Amino acid sequence: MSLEATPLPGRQARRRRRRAELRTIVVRRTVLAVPVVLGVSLLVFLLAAVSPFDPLAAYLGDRYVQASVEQRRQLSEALNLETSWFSAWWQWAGSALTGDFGHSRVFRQPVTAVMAERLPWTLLVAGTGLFLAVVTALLAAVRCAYRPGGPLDRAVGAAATVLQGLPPFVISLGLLGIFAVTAGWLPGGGLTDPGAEPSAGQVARHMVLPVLATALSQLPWLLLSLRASMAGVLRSDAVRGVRLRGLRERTVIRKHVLPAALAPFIAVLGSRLPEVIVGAVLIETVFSWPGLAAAVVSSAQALDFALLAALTVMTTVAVLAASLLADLLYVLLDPRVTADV
Amino acid sequence: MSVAIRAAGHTVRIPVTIRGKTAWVHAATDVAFTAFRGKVHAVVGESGSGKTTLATAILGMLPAGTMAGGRLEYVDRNGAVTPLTGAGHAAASRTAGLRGRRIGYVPQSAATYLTPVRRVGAQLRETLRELRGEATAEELLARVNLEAQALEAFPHELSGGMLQRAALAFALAGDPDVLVADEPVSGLDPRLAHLTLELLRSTADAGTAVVLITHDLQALASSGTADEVSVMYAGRIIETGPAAQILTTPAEPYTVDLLAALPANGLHPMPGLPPALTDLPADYTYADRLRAAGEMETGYAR
Repeated sequence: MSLEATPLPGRQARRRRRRAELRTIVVRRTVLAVPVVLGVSLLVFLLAAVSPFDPLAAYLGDRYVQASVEQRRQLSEALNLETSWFSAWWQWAGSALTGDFGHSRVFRQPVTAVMAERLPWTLLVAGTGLFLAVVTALLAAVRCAYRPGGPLDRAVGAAATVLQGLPPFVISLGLLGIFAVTAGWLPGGGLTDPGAEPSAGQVARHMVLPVLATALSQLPWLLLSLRASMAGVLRSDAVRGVRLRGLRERTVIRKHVLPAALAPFIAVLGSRLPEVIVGAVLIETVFSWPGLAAAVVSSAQALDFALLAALTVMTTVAVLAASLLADLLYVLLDPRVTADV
Repeated sequence: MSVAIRAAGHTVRIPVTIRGKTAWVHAATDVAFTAFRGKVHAVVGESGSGKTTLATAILGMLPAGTMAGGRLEYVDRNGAVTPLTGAGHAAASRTAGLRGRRIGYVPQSAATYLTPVRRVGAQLRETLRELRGEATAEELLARVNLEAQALEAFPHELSGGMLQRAALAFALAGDPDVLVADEPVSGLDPRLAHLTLELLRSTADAGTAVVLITHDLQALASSGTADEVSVMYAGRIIETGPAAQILTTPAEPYTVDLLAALPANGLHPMPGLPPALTDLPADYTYADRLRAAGEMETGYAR
């Protein structure tokens, strides 16, 4: 017997509506991404043009002083450095659309080859480190939720706050000092020992410290935000309701507090990808890890525009994609959220 | 007809911190109360009279730091007695073992009672599993007149009346023999309020002791749900008796005024203000409030 006039939506109807909402988000965000990416790439070329550095000097290095004016002019023409920043951008954008991102002067390779070679190493370290940080944050936050304000909760909160105050390069240098220099247990940098083949064992040993540095620098904010989110849910009527129903504390935390706290946590996760990228730049530099983030530094120092522009655009796309993914997850995790934004 | 909940001299003091100083809320003072299986025992009174604290105490969910004296206990069908108040880990796990299984709870705000990100059905089945309830989720919903489709819904998709019935289904999941309903009809329209009260009535008729906490005397009087009524004022139960007697010929002036305040009886406002229960004088009574309201001297009597 139904007393309400409005019927409840069936599972099928709800799923259809959800899928349509997700499609709307994806389409809208993709359309919005186009002007953002264009703007960012324009900005890179504009900034390069107004920067006081001479790309030719960076290209020639020591030979710059020896080169005659005529040689410099010829080389400058050959490298296409004479055009205005806008026409340089126009040429770049045109060929980028066909998949040709130009030639990296620093690595003396096509940009796509540099990316193909280095992206996997970055994903390996940043991905493993972030995964480790997320798992640790989840486990620790759940432990803390059993006794909010208890000794464990307070100790974890204090430790995370201290760690939060340390920039990634300090964490990296600290790990380097302890485990590589003082104890000598682990190699201090590079992908392999000098001259060794990049075997799985070699890479595994060399990636321990960069992964640890990534995990330690990402852990505190993940943990603190999840802990705050769970503390809020713990005070809610719904959790009191679960306790009044007589369910075990284990069920309260894992089946009610954690699911309800996860949605805001995911939103934070997506919005913080830029921090992860900045962290990767610092960590790869400290550990001489041959990833893309380290290439950002080399290309910027050498004014290698082709590579710098490609990396910047790629980072922009990654950040936009991460925030899109976070929003999609948010909609999937919290049925109250409608995608009509 | 056996006793399920028994209180004698039950007294509760809850600490609150006001501007750095600790004050004590006199939430219950010398409460004597009995709930029988198969009966609906209504507890009435204005907001802030200590009704909800009584409900919370029966469920063993008084806030940390609370001092409780006297006796408040659950008596099972074989006559074995379990105290419901008491400090420490042992007392906490004792009452936790009763919640849901022996003593069910129907909340006031059913809208926020369920976890918003999980389906009603998933949560109801989880409750049934954990409390080892014998009914199925569908049977429970049928008992509270809710369509089975509600199982597929998320809590925010249900209306207030549906949520209130769902909350009753959750309370019945562990097949408890005491049901504490804390203002289950506040915020419901009269038709739904009536339906909810009828459900509570039939639950009692099936052998459960129902403790119905309400300030809605109108619904109580018109529905005839309650067998017994206790009137609470300032943390004390000032009057107890058969519902027919209390609701028609009450002995206490406070109950008289409560009834006179009902729309059906002329909507006479309650005189004065209800007292703050923080650091209440030990001998405070309704007469103090009347005196404060200046009505004693002006020949107030009915």
